[in-house]
Amino acid sequence: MSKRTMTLNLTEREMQVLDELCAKKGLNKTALMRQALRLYQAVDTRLEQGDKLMFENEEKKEKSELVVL
Amino acid sequence: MSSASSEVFLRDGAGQLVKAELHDTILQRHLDDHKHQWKPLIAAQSEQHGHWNWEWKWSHFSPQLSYQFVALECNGQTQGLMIVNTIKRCRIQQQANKHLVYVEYLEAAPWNRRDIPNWVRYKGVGTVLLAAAIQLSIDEGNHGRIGLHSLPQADTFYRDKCGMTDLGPDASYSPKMPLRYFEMTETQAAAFIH
Repeated sequence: MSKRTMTLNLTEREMQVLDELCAKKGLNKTALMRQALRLYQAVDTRLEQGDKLMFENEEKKEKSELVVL
Repeated sequence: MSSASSEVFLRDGAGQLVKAELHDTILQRHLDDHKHQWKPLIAAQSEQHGHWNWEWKWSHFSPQLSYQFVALECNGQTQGLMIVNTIKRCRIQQQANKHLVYVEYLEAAPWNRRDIPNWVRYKGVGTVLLAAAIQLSIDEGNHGRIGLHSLPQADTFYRDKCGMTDLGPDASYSPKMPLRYFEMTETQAAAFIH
């Protein structure tokens, strides 16, 4: 699949978080941003279908909904 | 839809290497081959995946970026199809929570199935498709890590031939049909590729 290039402008803080996540996940910036885009689309598709995005902590028996705009 | 293809090799019934093409998407001709050539044979054999409808899968999954597609063609005919998910994460303790490429669906044409005597036209379809999933994982920065739930007919292939770690039946996949979950580490992927 052919790929296209774009320039991404980020704040210092955003770039710092991107660097931290890349180091944590062992991914380069492009791979991490592509992963984020896929996840965003997957979440958006499920929300549009009427699903909710929930986080569950089995140990604490906690469940909370993540509200995505 | 345009596709890029790369050259791979299968073995024919006589054990000779034959050229094949690996496509990075599923094209209409692949869906047509499944419908008109695979389906009648699959239905006749009452396969565990006999209900798989690749036209539906393509229309459902192709708009979503998290899914990627592979088709294997040889001698002008579709020999294998695969859909992978790129946003799932690992379960093995040593790589828990790291990204992997999860094989959602992998199917070889019925005439390539080794468990159906006298049918094998091309050998190595499953191996080539799994290698493609590993390569995709490497390309995505996931170092070859892959995972999948196996139909019972393929458990031995993934465990013994591919060297994947068998994490046992997974009730979270389906309480009624807890397929076994297999995962491949970076080291196992390197061993499989070489």
